[in-house]
Amino acid sequence: MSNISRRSFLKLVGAAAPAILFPAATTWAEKHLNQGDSSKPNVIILLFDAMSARDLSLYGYPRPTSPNMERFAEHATVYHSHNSGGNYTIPGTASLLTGTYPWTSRALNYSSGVKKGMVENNIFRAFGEEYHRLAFPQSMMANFVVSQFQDDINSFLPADTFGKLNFLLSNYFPNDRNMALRALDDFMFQMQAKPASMVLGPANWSLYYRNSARLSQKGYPMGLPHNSTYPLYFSLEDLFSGITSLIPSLPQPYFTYLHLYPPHAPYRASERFDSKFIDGYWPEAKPVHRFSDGFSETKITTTRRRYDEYIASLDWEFGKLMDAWEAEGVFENSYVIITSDHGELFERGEARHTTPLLFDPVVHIPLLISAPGQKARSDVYSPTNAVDVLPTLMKLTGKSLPSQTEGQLLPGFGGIEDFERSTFTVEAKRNPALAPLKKATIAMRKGTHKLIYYTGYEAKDSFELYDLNDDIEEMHDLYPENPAIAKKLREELLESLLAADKPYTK
Amino acid sequence: MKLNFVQKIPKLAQIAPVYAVAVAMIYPWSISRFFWRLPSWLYYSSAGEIAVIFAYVMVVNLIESALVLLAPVLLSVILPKKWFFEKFVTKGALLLSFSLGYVMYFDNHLNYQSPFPLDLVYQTPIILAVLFVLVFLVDWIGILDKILIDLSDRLIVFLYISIPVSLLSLLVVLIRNIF
Repeated sequence: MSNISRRSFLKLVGAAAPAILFPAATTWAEKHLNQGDSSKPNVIILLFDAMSARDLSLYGYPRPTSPNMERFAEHATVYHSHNSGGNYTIPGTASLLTGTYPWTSRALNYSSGVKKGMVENNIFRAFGEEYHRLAFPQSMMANFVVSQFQDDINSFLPADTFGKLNFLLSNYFPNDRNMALRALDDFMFQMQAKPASMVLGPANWSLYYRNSARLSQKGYPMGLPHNSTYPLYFSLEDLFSGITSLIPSLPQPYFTYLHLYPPHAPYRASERFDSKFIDGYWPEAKPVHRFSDGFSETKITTTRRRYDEYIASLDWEFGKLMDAWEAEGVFENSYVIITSDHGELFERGEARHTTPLLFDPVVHIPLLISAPGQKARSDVYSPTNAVDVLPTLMKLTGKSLPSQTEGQLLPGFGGIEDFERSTFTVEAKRNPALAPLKKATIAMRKGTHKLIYYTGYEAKDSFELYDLNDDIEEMHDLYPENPAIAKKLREELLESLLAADKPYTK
Repeated sequence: MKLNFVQKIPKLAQIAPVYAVAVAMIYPWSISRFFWRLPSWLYYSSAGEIAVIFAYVMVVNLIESALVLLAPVLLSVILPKKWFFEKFVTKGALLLSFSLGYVMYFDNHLNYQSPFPLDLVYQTPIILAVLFVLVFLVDWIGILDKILIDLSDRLIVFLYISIPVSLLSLLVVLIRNIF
């Protein structure tokens, strides 16, 4: 999977000879011979799966969950109203990597991915061969989306890289990874239900059980972090240590997409932070939404505490990574972007993100961009969306935009603060990808308002309207009270949906 | 010695009915689960993708059934002729029926929300040994011999479907992974 260009290979050969006789020369060679075109900045996207901005102290959360991200923010541009394209990994990731909303890329459900005609519209292709393009999708769903772009990726690190235990059979089928994942890891040898393979399935399960029982859980009172539905175990230390040493060794210029699984559930805080937030903090209770799972407030609050502790554990390791990259000079010649694919919802009867709901905690994600050599913090408050990242990076690196892009340049990097633009988040996992959306939730953010549209869940479609300026907790539905604003926003949302569905409407 | 070894490998005409028993138990297990998941896949996947999933299922079943068949064939080669080889069809069919029946029982105890059934794992060698001994019932119950031969002969019809479909599926999987 990993291709080294001829240029890099020749450099490495040149570096190897003196390295045999003069070890000290190796260090010098590694630092200087791999510089490539130093006029082009490196780009690192460091994405933390399921990280809600609402649970970060960086964004005002009362628990100290992200002191190291606050440190990073001191030399970054911080976006305070950044939303994801979807409320789970597939649409969220696809929006970031294609610069289009899920209803355009049609990365809507668990097996759709980006539609065929849009695969070439990806960020890796946009960076081009001039860049060394590396992808590490530790999340299996992100793996599913990113695999579609593997022809445009120089180094594709499998999900178990830096891991402790991996029983994924799809790793043995690199050329047909997605289908092998679905047929083998998701069905014949699945771990989340009885395997469909009568003989080899239980044998695989037995081996997995034996090997996982032998894993040291040291440092993790609740057990090692792992992928929630696939047999991938890792420690935060190994994960961050691996990434820390990976980046400085890459041929430059590079574009790396590092999609890390934490803080996605299961929430496995390290010893240092386990039970640290038993602090009596009890968020404001909100009425249970009719489309929620109806979890109790106690369950929601306890789960949220564990989530916060996991974020704090992750932030601790992030701090060490930041220090190492600072020492290596990574921040001097790279754009470093911290973001997420979606948030998590701990309110209204929910304690997860795979929900029909699109309230702020599940769509409001962090976005911090540190430009090369940036020394001061800058803050942006206008609404932005995951679809804006791709066009912005293309502008910053002097590349052309892919043919279909729905994002705008981010303020601070060529764009202006536009408080009246409309951005969307689409949740439609129960729809066939190439058909009009019949069962979906769509949130449109425009100005200070947010309109949420529910279709296909009940006999009649419904809307909710909130003013995020006065009511960030989205407690007061303005839809019945402000018919004029409601009508205007409703018409725009429905027109946008109609336009997106047009190619699939007979 | 070498001659003896070769002489104890069953002929294709003897292997086929025994293999048919394995196929009749292994393939429906996966196929029934395939059709159980199909409505969900239809919601999300194209016909082509579902066909590819089916191809992988067939290939895994092919490998499983071939591996399982090795057990009676190896026993036939290792054990004295009179013990297994001379009644390969009946003893092989009975061995596979009992063993795969136990595997089904084991599978039904797998539940990801419950602890792994370690006690069953520890009991498995004993149970398989007991089943192996029971295979020799064929020597004592004459009618069992006849029933097993008839049944396994009839099951051969499944091979006319399973083998071509599995080989075609193998081709699909190989092409998808090589090119």
